[in-house]
Amino acid sequence: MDWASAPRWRLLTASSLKFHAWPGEEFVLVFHSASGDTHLVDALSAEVLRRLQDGPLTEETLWRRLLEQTGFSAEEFPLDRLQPILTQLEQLSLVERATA
Amino acid sequence: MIVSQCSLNALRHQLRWGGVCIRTGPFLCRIQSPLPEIARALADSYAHFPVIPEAPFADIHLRVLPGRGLRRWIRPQVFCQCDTEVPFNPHPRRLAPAMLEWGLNWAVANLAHWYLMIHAAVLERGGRCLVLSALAESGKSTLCAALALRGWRVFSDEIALIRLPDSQLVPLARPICLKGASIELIRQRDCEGLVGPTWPDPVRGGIALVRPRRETVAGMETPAPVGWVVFPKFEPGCPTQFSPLPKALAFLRLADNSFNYSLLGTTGFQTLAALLDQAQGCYKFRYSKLDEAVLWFERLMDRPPECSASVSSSEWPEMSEPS
Amino acid sequence: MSYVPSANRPLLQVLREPEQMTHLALADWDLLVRQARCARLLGRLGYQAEQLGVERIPESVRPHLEAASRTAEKHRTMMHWEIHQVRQVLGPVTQKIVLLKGAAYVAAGLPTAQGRLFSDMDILVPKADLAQVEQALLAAGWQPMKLHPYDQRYYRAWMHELPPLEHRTRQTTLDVHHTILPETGRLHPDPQKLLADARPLPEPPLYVLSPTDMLLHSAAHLFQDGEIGGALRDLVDMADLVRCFGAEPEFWPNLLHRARQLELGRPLWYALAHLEWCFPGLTPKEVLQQAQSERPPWPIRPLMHLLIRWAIQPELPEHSTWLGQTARWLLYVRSHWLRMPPRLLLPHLVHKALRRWHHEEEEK
Repeated sequence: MDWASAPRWRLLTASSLKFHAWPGEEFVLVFHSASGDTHLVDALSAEVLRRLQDGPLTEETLWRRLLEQTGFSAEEFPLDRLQPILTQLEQLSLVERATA
Repeated sequence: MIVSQCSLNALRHQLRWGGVCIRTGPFLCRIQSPLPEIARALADSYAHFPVIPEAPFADIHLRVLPGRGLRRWIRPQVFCQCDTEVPFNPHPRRLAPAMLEWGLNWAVANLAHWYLMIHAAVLERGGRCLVLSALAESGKSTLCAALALRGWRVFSDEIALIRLPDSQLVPLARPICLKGASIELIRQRDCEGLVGPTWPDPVRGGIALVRPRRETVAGMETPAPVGWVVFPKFEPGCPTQFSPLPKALAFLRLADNSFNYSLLGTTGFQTLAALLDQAQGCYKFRYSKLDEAVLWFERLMDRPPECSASVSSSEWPEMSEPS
Repeated sequence: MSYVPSANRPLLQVLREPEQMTHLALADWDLLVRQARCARLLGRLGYQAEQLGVERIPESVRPHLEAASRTAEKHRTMMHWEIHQVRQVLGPVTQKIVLLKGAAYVAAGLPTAQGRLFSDMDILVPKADLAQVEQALLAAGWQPMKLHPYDQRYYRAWMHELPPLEHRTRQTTLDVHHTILPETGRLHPDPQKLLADARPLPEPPLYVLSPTDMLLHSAAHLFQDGEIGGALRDLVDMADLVRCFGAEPEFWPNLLHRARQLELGRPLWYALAHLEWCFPGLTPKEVLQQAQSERPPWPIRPLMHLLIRWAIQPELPEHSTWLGQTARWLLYVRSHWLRMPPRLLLPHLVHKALRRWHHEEEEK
């Protein structure tokens, strides 16, 4: 893979995200201050958003960091499971593909 | 000074010229009206409320006025005005006391954005609050009135006022507004004569107000933390059922039922999250028998019922499919 | 509490000198909060109170100012988001999206945006791009607000706008203009000149009008096209623009020349005259003198003077005067008179009155 041209994902605009969850529950609340929207996402999607708070990442790098954070193995959570999560977050206007 | 210490004539006079300032919960409300029935409504339903003569500043200014033009005399109407806003269509003049309640609720919900406000009934018992969150026609005012008659302290039958820094619930302590069949249901249980007369209303099947007790009004300045959040639904013929609701889902329902969650932005999110942090539990609740529902809430007060632990499943089964 | 005479109007006083807020009695605040709320200026007072120090404001009043500030903050956030959405959708189909009025104040970070409420978003696009702009917006979730076919025609054929668009899910309103005054009206400021002088924002293809054009647009909107109900707020906007841009070396020297170029000399005269009445000393004397050449003849000048002053005061219903109501009605008719020729005006007003009567009958 040509690392220089690998597409990167980032959070939308310079807005902040706030997270809240309760122990033992499967859903995480995410507040997006730029749009004023409140979203209910699963823990994995919330983790994707948290990783992107540090800056734009390629899918591969994002995937590796998720594995580190969650403790999943590459077999339990293959890279191609990440794409639908990112697509859904993109539809919620939470993430976008970085153009430059 | 409280309202009952004013004569009816003095109230009528003051309402017509300059207005009567009454404290309801944290709000000072200046009420003006040329209609004598508003003076009677204050004397009946607001007897224990503090009145502040010559108050220089009021939070809410509400006028209850006779219909415009010919509707002042012919099939007379009444409407209310809060500053420049006329929030409701005119109604028959006999519903003037109800128009006062609706107007005050409207004013609070549209102005008081220093609270997070949710469309819910709130009652306190044993130092913690029960929040009954539901939209109109869900039976929450009936439940609220039934619990009030059992001695629960009513904060409000319509608006949960949540203080922003600490998510404490703040009382309004105003009368409860009942409609239709629930009026007789509550009147049958009323030993203290708290339920006022029924005003005929073909649209709603009648309206009556339940006046607050002296203790409720006296406790008007005492907030309390949340205990439980319940989403009730009256369904004719339905057995009493409940199921626990994850707090994340309860959060979205409360936000949906809120007057100003969206307006408050990040603060709204944080305040609602903190409220649910403090809550012992959240439940969906369906019922058709009022007495059973009251008993369920009183048991809830003691401890939150687990799915099968504290109640026999044949008596109160957990809901089999999500509603 | 005794009746407060309507002559006691703390709002104008406080707008001229915000520091006066710290000297007001509670009874004055009782009137001021309601007047300011009515004039949509309470958020501005909230912002100014924060600048002065909220501890200098009486405790009973602070929550109202806080509520207004929170509301204004929400409006600002929503406007930023709308601008972002519009830019995403229209960026590919047009070279210039000129933000107007509130959207411009927010995007350019102008002081005018502080504490301000926004109702809808206005943009100006080249007329040639109008069709694809409308298509792109409809494809992205905007839809025409449900309008009577008569109103659709009113907007498209006679006025200067597509009918207002409403976003399906966000329920925000977007007004897309291709010129700033109606084509059927009496004045025809050339939109090409406005577009040519527009200043780019950091995010292409967003632009705002040049400083002189921003002031002239505000003047045209209020005095040529406008609803006098928001007049005080619009004058406050203009005062902020003047304070912000007056220091730029080219602003005052170019203003009158530019007004004449855009046929907006008369609205500019009204704007400067009423700015001077509301905020004395803000406009340089020589500019006021030069603008005299644009003033309307007698008796229009003193008549408009009186009408605007009577109409502009925010009146609470219990203080409502027949003078104020009459003045507002006359100015309403005038604004329609200026928007459309007489052969269209009378039928239009009759049609609107009939529709209103019919609507009231249906409600009963």
